[in-house]
Amino acid sequence: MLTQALTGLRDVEEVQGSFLFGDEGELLARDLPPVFHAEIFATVGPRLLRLREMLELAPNAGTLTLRFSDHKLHVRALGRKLLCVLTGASVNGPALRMAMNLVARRVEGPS
Amino acid sequence: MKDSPGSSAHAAAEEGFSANLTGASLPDLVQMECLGNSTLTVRVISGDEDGYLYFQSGQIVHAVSTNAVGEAAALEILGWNRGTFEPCSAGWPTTHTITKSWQALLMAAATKRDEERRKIVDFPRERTHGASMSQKPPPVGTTPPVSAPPPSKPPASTRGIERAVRLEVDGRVVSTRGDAEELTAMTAYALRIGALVGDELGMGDLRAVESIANGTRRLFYYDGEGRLVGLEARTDVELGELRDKLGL
Repeated sequence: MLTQALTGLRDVEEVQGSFLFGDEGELLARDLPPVFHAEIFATVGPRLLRLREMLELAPNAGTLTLRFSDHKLHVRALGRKLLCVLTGASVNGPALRMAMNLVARRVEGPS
Repeated sequence: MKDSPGSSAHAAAEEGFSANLTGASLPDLVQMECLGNSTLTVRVISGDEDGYLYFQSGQIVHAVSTNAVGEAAALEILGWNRGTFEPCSAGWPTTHTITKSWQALLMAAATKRDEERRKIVDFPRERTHGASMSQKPPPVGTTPPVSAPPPSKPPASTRGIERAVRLEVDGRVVSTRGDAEELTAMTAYALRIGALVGDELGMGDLRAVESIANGTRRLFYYDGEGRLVGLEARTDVELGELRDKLGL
């Protein structure tokens, strides 16, 4: 169900995939091309969690954007989870924010 | 350790298995070579087109097609849907024309394919307003390079910045504004973690990190001389010009 929620993000142009980490940095769901192997998330998750802790991202409002040469990684705190979206550099910011809001509702929803 | 495509292909002929796979996608085959840290040249033939991909230690370092060389050729080849993929002994290039990681190349090729597919099934759109949400952004790889402000000049819009720090790569502080002791550590740590995450995901060089939390915006980036810069301001402070320069 979580993976299904993530697929909606691909409606936004330049979104290349997304993933969701739990409060220990464990991978809860992913919607990514197969070039990303599961092993890399074992280190990416805890690192992003440490970054979140240092920057004191608020549980449901804190955001983090990492800008790379041709890509961006958008991170948003959802309760104690972290929603991460990988995009091209020219992604439409407002459209992505809305798509992330919708995913946030589904991820946080019934639980 | 094999160090040239010729020796690799030769070694492969002497020992191990040869295979004839049907139905595998080109990205699957490329991924197999990359994960196997291969050094070899591969000829890809698709209909009347052919091209060469050069792998060195699991990275694609060069590509040639009929129409292009380098990254453009790699993207062209990776966009082909059917054909053959076979090791060959084409001459090794004198220079490497591709610096992107193989993951980034495969992703860029996938994005290009998606965009081409979208063009085919695109619905007619009304364009009644200036900047349309459906406006197509430039393709990946054509983003103008980010150039952060030089260290001697503060960003054009610095009013409202509460704390700031500029430090050398080794952590020596060059200049500060406000009480920047904590921000100094944050800057160094955020840029380090960001770079590690980027390496793991094959995203290339980290340019900047931005966080928004509790009414505070923090920007961490590298200036024109490779120094680390950290800024902290309230979220209502206008930093648009700097954010644009950083590509945020």
